[in-house]
Amino acid sequence: MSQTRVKAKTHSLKHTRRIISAFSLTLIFLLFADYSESLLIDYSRQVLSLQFLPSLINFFTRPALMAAGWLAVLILTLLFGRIYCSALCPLGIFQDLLLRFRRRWGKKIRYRYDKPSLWLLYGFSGLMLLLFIAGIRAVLPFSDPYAHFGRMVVQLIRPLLIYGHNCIAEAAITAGFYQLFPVEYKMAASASTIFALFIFLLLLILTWWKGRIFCNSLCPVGAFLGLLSQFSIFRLQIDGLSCSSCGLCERVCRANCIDSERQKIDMERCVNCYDCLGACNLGGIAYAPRYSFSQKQETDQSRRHFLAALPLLPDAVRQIVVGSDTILVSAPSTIPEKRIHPVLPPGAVSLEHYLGRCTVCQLCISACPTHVLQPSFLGFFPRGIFVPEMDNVVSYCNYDCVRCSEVCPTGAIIPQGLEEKKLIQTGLAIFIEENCIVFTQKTECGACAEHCPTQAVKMVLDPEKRLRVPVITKEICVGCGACEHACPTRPYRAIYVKAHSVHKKAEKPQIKAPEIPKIIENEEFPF
Amino acid sequence: MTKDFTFIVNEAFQYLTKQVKISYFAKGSFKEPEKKRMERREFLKKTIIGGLGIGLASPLFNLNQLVAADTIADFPDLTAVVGGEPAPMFDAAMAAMGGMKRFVKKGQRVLVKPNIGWDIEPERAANSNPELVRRIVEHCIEAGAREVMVFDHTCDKWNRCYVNSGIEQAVKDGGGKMAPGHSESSYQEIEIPKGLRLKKAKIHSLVLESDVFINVPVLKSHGSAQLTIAMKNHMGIVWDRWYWHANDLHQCIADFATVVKPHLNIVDAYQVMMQNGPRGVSKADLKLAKYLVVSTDQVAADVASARIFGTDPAQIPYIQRAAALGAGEAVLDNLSIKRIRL
Repeated sequence: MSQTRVKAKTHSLKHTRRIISAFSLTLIFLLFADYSESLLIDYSRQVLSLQFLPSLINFFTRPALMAAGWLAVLILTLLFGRIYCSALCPLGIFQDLLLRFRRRWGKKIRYRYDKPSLWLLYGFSGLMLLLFIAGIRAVLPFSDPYAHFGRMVVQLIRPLLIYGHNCIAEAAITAGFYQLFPVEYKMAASASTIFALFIFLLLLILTWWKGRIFCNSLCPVGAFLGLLSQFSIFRLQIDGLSCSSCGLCERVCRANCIDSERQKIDMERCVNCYDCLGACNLGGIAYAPRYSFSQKQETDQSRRHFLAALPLLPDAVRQIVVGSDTILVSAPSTIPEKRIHPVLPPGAVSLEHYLGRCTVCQLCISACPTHVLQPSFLGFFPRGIFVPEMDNVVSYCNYDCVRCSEVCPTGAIIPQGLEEKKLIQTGLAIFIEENCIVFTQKTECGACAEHCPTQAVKMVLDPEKRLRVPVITKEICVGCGACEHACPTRPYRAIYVKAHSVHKKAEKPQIKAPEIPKIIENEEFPF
Repeated sequence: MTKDFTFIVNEAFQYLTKQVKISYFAKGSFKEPEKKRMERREFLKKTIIGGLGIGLASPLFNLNQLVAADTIADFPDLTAVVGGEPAPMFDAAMAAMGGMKRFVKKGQRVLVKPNIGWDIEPERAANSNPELVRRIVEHCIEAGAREVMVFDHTCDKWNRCYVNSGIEQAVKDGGGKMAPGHSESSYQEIEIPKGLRLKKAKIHSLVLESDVFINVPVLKSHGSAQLTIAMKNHMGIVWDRWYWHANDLHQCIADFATVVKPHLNIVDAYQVMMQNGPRGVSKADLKLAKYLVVSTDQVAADVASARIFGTDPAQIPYIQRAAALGAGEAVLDNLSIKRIRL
């Protein structure tokens, strides 16, 4: 049979896929990369509603129709296959983007069919699931492709954008233009950065080697949706009557799942890119309901094993503490703070709730206006890893802000009204007298009380010392960490927030009006 | 041709770098210039070209000394206004002080430094009154200011403070510009020769580069300094204010006042936070006092404001120490004072 080689046309389904995925990727990228605290963040819930794992976790936290995006993905998958992987998952689309760059600037890619060797995929995914069920929540950051993408943007791209912005802003200000202000950036490179970089490099290598192999080997969401897509109604099928087994479709298949020789498509691994549709000149491949065409039935003969020794954890790298301010205190403080675990953001309810739901997409870190939310490393270990923590050395939680709870797609941080949030006690301020300036230097300081939004830390005159010393009212402390951040003693703070494992309710500060009501009309000038 | 071009570029570059150096030298005058002194003619030429001819008065020298030479002994050192609304009160005070034109000359660059420390709405008076700030900016523009800049090194997140204090909008309405105070690169180190505890401080470039510096504190109670008024407000123009807290806060405030002397101190005591300052917890902390104090002397401004608050200024260490270091006059009887009731 003679074949006429016509230039491959782009199929309309592929166009649609490209448009939708470009849209998804742009929105999600902007959400993570945006450092201007713009309006987009207000719509983060809508933008992220179709992210499978976050939506699933969120649904089990707070069942609601709006939180049922995962159900929509399930239905989509059962109808059309792994649409999520092709048009909704930012990590999948990102890999497509890498492939596109490679096609444009690199060598021409020729994919080849791989026998299904899914032991790694199921092994990895099964392990994650088992460990999660066994109560080890630290697996979550390794399980969510969306979170992988979020971390890459927050840890690798956003700093570059901010750096660029600040260069321009500083230059503009030097030139006398005050339209553009520099942006504060308070996140040091940490283990989280290394992990994000590792995932990025891994993706580069894997996509270069075998297209979307990551999605079919290291992605539990891909594994689950793959299982479902075997039963999908619409599927890519080879029409045995038209197909000449020329292999054009196999060559463009980024999931390496078309076996042109046997005229078979492995729908489990297919990521619905629809490239094959345009590649076929003979109309031998179609996207249609099940059993529209006759198929050759054959079984696999041999298995080629897929080996990849993948280090899942980066080396233990101590998190570098941010704090460029060189503060010279007359005498260094001596008593270390006693912290058990880091402070959880308000709305995180408890360690169990928070660590059981956070997949570490780091959107809250990106959205936090004061930068108090920072990626942890081993702070919660072994119960959690990389999970955002409140780092009061870097900053403190703004009393009038609920940003993190608004953006969290998994419900790890439950949405809070502002008034509710002001009564959440995330921890308690603990005072270490031996470190305090007032006691060691015998001079006034008061930085802690100055910053305290509720006056849970208040300066009270000590008649003996004739100085004002901090006094803590536990009931109204919200654990925001303003006192700890402001405290000038080093290396240890004289006041710090000891985290609650289960958040408590704080009382509302009761303020009595000052006693001296004067009537100004008849008042003489006091000088 | 190429040679000519390189030459021109080279010349231009050198000229520009010189300009920058001159501007620091002429305005800041903290450090002796390292390079050889420029010829007088060249210096004058370049200063005029650089638009600096009018900017020679350093904001760090008390304008009193300069203005005093021009006569104007009639104008009071301190004016206090009581009653009325912030904007008309300021109008009345400035009329008594000789108008803004006495302080701001045509084409000058003015820095207005209110207290914008907190992410708190104007009703709670934790920051300077936005109405007052707007009126101040307007007065400067009317007096012919080339540019009116406003900033603070805030305690809470800067952009939230700028917006929620209402000051950003007020400044824009008045025709001024907000400037950033949150990045260390904007700050330059200065020496404090008379300082006892504070020998050096990193201070915002705008303070050094502006021709006129107007300090606009708000009168509040303060947990450790007791009161925050004009001199305490300077903690918002330095980078490392934590050092002050750790090294005798009162002494550092006094030390710093020996080098930075605003041309005008405008104390907003319209709503006064009587307790739980400087941040405050609720509106219950406030007292409607309806006072405004305007003075060329920051120590005097603090003394008068402390009296309005009902505190004896002799009990506030930084006021006494600043006066002892010669930062200003703490005895109001030695000054001419104008009292206005609206």
